[in-house]
Amino acid sequence: MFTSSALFIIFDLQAMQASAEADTFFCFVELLSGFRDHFCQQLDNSVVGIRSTITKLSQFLKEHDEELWRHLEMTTKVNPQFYAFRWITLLLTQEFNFPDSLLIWDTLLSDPEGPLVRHPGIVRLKTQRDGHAAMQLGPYPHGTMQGGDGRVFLGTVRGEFKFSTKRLQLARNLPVIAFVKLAIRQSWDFHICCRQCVWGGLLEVKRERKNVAPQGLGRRRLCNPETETLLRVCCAMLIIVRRRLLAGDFTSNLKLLQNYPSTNISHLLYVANKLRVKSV
Amino acid sequence: MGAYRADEDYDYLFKVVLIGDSGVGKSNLLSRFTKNEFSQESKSTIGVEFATRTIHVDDKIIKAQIWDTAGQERYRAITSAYYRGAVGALLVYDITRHVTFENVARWLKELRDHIDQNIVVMLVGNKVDLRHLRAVPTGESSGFAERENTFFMETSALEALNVENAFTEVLTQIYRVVSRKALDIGDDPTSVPRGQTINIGKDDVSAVKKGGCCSG
Repeated sequence: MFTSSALFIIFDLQAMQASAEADTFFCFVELLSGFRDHFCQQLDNSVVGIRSTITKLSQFLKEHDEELWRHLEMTTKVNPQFYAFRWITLLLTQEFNFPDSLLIWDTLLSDPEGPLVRHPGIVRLKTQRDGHAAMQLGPYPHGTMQGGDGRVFLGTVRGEFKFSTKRLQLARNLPVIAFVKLAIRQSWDFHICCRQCVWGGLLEVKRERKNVAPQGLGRRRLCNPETETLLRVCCAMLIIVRRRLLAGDFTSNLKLLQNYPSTNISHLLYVANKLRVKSV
Repeated sequence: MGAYRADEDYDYLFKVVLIGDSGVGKSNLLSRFTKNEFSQESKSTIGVEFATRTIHVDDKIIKAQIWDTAGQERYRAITSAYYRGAVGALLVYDITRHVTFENVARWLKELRDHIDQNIVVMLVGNKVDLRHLRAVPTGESSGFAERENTFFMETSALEALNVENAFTEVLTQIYRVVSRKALDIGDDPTSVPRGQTINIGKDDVSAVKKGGCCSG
């Protein structure tokens, strides 16, 4: 599956082959935990299920570009399920080539309200305002790493990390690094649990942001922040090809959306970000 | 003669669905028919994929709108919209995996649950290139097809064997039913032959095209 192979490559790139598979599995589980409701059949008709998310995309488009929405769904009768199911469940990985997908993922995962803040956990990662990070893995099997030398462990992923702009740019395309980058930039104090399970290298990592109620205890959002970001990107994909869609009929529109043309990803993300501003 | 006919120009538009278990080769049958392509490393279909091809039957142009559905349970739970308006189906199994043939009955039931009229169904045993691994004898399938009143063919998307025939046969049969129905209705609008009812006109995707620059 592309999603997990993407993660595998990321870890492999970090020359951590020995634990790459376990880390990949851990991050895959983590990643999907933000989107798991889309995969639960019991939730299909609930407000968090895949049907509801597809409907949200449709509403989102209507809100931002009613003409396009009307043409697509009313005039040419393109049911968003026919294209958006794959877009949403695979987090756009089948629509773009590998480097482009990583850029999109970087946006999905580094959203300021993204996955990091959501999970309670056990082991501590301290970040300090002077830009250094330290992490204790306590009594857990991978040892302890501490100090202000700028090296960060996330689970077993060793990513050398300092705050120079140059290093940030080096790490830019790596979603996992995006977690850490953001955490440090925001001076978060959060917990990471790292436990090697005996039955196959499963790493379970949970995190906690201090003084912030885990999501679900506080306000209930219409959908989670990653999904909101994803929907903005999906909506931007429609808007970018709006001229072709408006000129198209059912067949050409469905073919276009099922075989999305390669596009300038920076522009796509720019359009998606503008949708955030508009909807506030 | 010699008049240019655009891709959009057709006499009939028929919606056909491809159904069957995961991994039996539905997507490769479709790509072989519409693009003459075959991929050894094709990915699982997620949701639904869509392709078209135009063929000629008699002197008519028939545009086939073919919907390739995911064989995995997940997507079918979410929508049955892709069945809507279908007038033909290729029900595919893998001749090397008997269980995919055993599930054919379930697929047929699901098809008939979603589409109230009888549609043209072709049972397709795919992967006949894997002769040495055959697990479903031809006789077993043809017997089933006879009992269930469906057409039957064995194909190989890899070797491009019978793929063209299978699709063309389904489309031709639909065309026969539709044109016969049109004739019958012409004679007596109240007597639509049972078992051959194909819904045309009121649906958005399966319709006889009216007018057009080259028709009439």
